[in-house]
Amino acid sequence: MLLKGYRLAIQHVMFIVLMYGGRFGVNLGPAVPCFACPYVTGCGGYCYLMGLQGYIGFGISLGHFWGFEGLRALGYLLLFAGLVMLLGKAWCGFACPFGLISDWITLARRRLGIPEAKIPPAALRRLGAVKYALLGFCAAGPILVNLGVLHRDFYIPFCQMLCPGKPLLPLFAGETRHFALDLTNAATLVITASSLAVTGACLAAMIARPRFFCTFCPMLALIHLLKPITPLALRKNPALCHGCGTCQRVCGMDVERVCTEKASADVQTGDCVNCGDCVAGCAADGALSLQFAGRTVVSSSAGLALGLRKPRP
Amino acid sequence: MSGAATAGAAPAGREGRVFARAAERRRGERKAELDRLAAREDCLPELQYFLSLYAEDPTLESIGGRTGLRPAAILCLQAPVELFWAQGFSPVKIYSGAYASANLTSPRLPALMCPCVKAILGEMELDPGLALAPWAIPLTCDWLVKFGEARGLFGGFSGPVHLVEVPRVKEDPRARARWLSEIRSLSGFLKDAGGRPLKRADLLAAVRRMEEARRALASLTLLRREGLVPAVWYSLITGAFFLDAPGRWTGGVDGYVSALRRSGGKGGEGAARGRRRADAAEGPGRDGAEGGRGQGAGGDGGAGAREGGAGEGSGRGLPAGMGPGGGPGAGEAAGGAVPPEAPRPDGVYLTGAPVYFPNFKVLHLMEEAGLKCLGDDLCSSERLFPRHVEVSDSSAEGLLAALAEAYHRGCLCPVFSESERRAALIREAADQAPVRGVVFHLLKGCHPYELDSFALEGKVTGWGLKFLKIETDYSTEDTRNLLTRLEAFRPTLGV
Amino acid sequence: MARLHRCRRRLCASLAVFWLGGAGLLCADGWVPAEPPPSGAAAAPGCAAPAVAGAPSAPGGDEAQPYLRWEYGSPSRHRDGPAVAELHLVASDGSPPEDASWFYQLLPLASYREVLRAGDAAVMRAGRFEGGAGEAEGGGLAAGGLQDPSIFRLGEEGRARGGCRLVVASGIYAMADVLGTALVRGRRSYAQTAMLLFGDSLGGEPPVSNSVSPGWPSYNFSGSGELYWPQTGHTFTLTAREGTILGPVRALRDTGPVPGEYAGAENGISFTPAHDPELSAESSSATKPVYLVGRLPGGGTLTYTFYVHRSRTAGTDLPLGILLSAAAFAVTGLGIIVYRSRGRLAREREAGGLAA
Repeated sequence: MLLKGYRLAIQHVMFIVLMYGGRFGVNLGPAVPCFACPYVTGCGGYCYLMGLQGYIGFGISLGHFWGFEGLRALGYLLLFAGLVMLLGKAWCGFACPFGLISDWITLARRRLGIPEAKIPPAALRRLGAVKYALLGFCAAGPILVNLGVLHRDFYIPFCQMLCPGKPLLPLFAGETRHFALDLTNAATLVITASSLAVTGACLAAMIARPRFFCTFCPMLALIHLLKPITPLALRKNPALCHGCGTCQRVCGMDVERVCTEKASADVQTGDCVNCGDCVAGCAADGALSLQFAGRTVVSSSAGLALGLRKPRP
Repeated sequence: MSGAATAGAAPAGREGRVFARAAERRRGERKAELDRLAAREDCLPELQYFLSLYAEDPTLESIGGRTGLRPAAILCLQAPVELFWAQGFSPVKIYSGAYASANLTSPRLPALMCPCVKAILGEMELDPGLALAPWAIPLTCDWLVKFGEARGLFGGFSGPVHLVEVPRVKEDPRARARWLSEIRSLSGFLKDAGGRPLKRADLLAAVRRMEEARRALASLTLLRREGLVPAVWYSLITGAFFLDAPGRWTGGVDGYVSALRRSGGKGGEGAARGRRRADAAEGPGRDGAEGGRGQGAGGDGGAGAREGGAGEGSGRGLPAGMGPGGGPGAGEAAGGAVPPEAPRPDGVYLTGAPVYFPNFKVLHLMEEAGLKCLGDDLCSSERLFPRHVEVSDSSAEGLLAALAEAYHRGCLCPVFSESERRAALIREAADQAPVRGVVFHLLKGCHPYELDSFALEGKVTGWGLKFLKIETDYSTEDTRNLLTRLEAFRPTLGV
Repeated sequence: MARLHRCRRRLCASLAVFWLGGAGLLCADGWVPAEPPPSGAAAAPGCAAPAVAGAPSAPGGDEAQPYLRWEYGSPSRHRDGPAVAELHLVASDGSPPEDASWFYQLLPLASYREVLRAGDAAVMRAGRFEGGAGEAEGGGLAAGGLQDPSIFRLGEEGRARGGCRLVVASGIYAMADVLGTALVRGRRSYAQTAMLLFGDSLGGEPPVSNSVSPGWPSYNFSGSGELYWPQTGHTFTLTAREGTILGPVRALRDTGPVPGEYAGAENGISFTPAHDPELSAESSSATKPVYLVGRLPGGGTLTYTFYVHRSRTAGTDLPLGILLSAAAFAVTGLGIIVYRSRGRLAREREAGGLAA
């Protein structure tokens, strides 16, 4: 329970930093590994997905690649990798402003007693692959624009068309313009219609299912690709697992492996957002833990689950 | 759970005399055990509440009166208790450890049959009122699958009975879906049997009530890991859960826990001091308990329990190491002080088949042999209900699914296709407390547990723990043999 | 799991190819110009040189009197970061300007607004174009050497019809205020423009002042609305700077007068370009030139050049957008409810129970 409280507090602090930090001089740079949306005026950092699409879409010629432009783009990639190494998927579970919005909606749903929608595990596995397709789309879309296959207005296709953060996050800065349908030309109509339809559908789905969009989030996919260099990880001691299924049940992403794994310590799947809910809910001492470079940050505790003990170090 | 024999329901003639004799012996067993427990040095005043619950020999009606809910009989614990509460029933787990009850039905049942099931059938013979109540029978082991037919040999059921089919494969999502549908089906049965329709508010209230009970039991378990709670008291307390309203039971447990903390485990101070003097006098690794042996369940252990006051080195019925600051790592040698951090090498973990009142034979024998039971995974004891039910979806559906899953996946009974995770409980306890060995309690006729014992032995010994399997039933004929084996087991723990 | 690992490796490789090689393979021809970044966002590579949309027309303009104007050429960026802009000083009728000279001041973007009021300048360069016709270098680049690989294209080549060519560069985000003068058909005319340069070199430093303004007639130019970039539907106001007498002003381009509305302003005039269907059909970075031509006493002209984009907000419909979003929300929510109801019916059917 304590871990959940800490996490909620950290999420709120990061929400303020990433959404409003720019107004106070905070700038975490253009390679933030979560939905720090550049469409929010005064944001404290920029989501790397926009930059990634920009570098691919705006184009870096071969001649300039080895110069300043290329170095800068490479620098941003290294900055992104560095930030991922720092917090890993905790960017998703502890820092992402859009993730916090999802969690708010989930809290409200639970208070109202609205049942959660369950997706069968097999279907969930298939849906999980969509995030990699969207990541590919982030790369391919701008290239199609450069080739002239797509209208120039599609220059940042994922952000403009598919990211529900684009209309929703600026709302918290008082900006409603991204909820407008743009009838200027066919391309803008398609772009804005797509964005608004996806946002509306996502909102409804987020009510029914916690962290709905994270299943499809290309940022999660990108961070997961860097898993080999990420020190922060969810680890399991299978010898201490009772198999009660609590971890899987409380998991917002319905990760099965955290319960069913009996041999390996690595249970951080592609869908895991490192929220730590499984660690908080697990009633077996030491069965699950969040570790940084092999050192335990927080681990499960039977007493903790029942409010009897402090979190284990 | 036991029911009082009602004179009006007993058959006449020879059979009547058999029944009367069985009822009398059964009463004797219960009384003897209660007297033995009451005479213990560590019987704190807070434990009188639990003793009184057994002493009145409760029936389903009396339990219904205490809880204010209509009683429903259950066997095994896969059916969520909260569901019963939410729908206006008080679930009463029917069990019996009375040898007389088991003996009553033995002539008409297979010889090598689970003595607990025999005893339950015997209880139903002695208390016809049991057959009138609604029954929910999870079909776990083969004996329970055939329970209905076995009961049919003795007159069948008079009230409604619901069979709950328990999927044996826990990891399969289809099995989990089937189990959830079984739980819904059970809910429908309870409603048809006169209960309330299932509502979210009621279920939420039941879950919260149960959380309190779990919390209380967890705090008791923590003290047990420190060696402050003897196994007999722990089993008595858990067995009393179904005999009273959960709020009162929780209060009773909290009271006992507070008393233990206040006294620093001084419940058995005199006896413990005496025991340690005897240990010191006779050298390390030697059990100083000389008297009070040979007393199994239902025997005259009361005498032995009354002895062993201050200065006595007798281990008769006395808990080991229950002195001030008692428990692992604490103690005092004769005339001197042992550093409180010194680990005690004789902590064991009890696993295997359940132990039911009044048959605390194994628990008493372990104590007499000088083995301190620091934990167990018996479904009659620490595994009485799931350790924790984390609810992420607090809708009615979500609560039901959470409960169903916790009771199903969290159940480590060997009837499931894989129960290798039972070893995790032992591992966890060994991390929390100085457990040096595992005692596997096997009831004759229980094949799943027997099969489990082989796998568990391999794992446990691989971790460096000692392992001892004892196979017994409800009779007292093997008491001396068991005690000898347990006493021989104890010195191996310190090696 | 092995398959996932293989997919992940392949995706990594694909991303690398796209990013490293795919973009490079598309260099030279086929590129489209850089997008100016949205407000507050990181700078896009390149400078704010806009694309020219619409078909160019034959030389012409206001039939009464040819005027002098700045035209934007191909923007580029040096390998080490400075943004480079190309400007052509041409006459609207194609006649070669004579006795041409130029002056520009380069202001760090942050201080641009203050400079308009204070009259101060960070860098002022002045020079004369050597030779009357053809390209001539004005010298005085802000930073870096002059290299001209044109990377970003305007969609169409900037025309150099015997006019003068000026190259302005900046290593930092800066606004270049450029004035030029020449004799057009014997009459002294002036041209003015201002352009953004998103220079981003590692060693970029704020320019320093080293010259004085020549005191030529010039405008103060401002726009209303969202100052993202000049857009149709926004009102642009020209007022005369000190010493300038403002004559009648008309908005022109090669195809003729620019459709729009005029209104009076204090000591000036305002013009609101009408929405252009051709521009609207193009991307947001597409532009069309607008030359605000004012007549000076003495018959010459003072022309302000700016490039207008399509309006970012004129085509937006907020209520319709909210409605669409709400409809998607409702449809999805209904789908979830229907899906659940089916499940509930099934559960209620199976709640019949199993009795012995």
